[in-house]
Amino acid sequence: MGKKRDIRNIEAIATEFDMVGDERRKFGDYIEECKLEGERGSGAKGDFTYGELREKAREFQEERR
Amino acid sequence: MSQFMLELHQADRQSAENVVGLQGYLAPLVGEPFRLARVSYGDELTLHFGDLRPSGSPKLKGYFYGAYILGVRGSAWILKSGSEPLTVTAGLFSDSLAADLGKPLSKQDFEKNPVIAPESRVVEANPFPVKPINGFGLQLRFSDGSTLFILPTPPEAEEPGDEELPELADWELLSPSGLLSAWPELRWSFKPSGGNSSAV
Repeated sequence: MGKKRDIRNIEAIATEFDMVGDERRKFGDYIEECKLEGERGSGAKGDFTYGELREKAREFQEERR
Repeated sequence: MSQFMLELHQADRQSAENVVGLQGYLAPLVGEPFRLARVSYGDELTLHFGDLRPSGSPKLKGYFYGAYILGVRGSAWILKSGSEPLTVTAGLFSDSLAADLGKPLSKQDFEKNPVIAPESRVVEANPFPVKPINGFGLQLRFSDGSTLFILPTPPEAEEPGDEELPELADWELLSPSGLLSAWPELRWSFKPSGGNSSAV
């Protein structure tokens, strides 16, 4: 998956989940931290698929409540 | 060896006017102290300036965010140290060529020593048109003599489903007053925090 596409995926999901301001930035770091902790998605090279990223967005927002 | 020359300036009047408008929105960054660099999702370099605040997320414990966050999105960048003969770059060379130019730097090592001296202040923030790509680059100069260049790169080949994804800015600056984005085709926009956008 291209790096620009990775970021566009995050942008699309951030918009869908009404993330504004630095919350968008934090969501990107949240996904990166998940990867650093060893989580892997089911996409190529362990990337998170779009659906998995949506699940992560829910998890991220619930964690912050 | 192939050689390339990037023409960084364009005499076109409209783009010159766009640069002036864009530079106006970058002006508040000048004088702000550099705090930290972080490589985020998609290998995006982010630089944080000004007052820091914690993330507020248990998983992101220990992560701090500057009042000003510059993100290079998918662009290439070059960071030249002001105090030592050191340049760090990403996205500018193919992996095979980059291996001959210097040693790879891990994300962790870069974040620990991001080349720019802590607390260095931004002394200049200059956008400039990059003619072959038809996008805005950005040069930041710091009080320790360090310089950052952000250089837009061509779009990636589209795959099925990509047309539904949002367009990606070449770089962006999130500030207390809003989000400034530099887009392909020498466009930029500013979306005030909680308000209407202005765009060129």
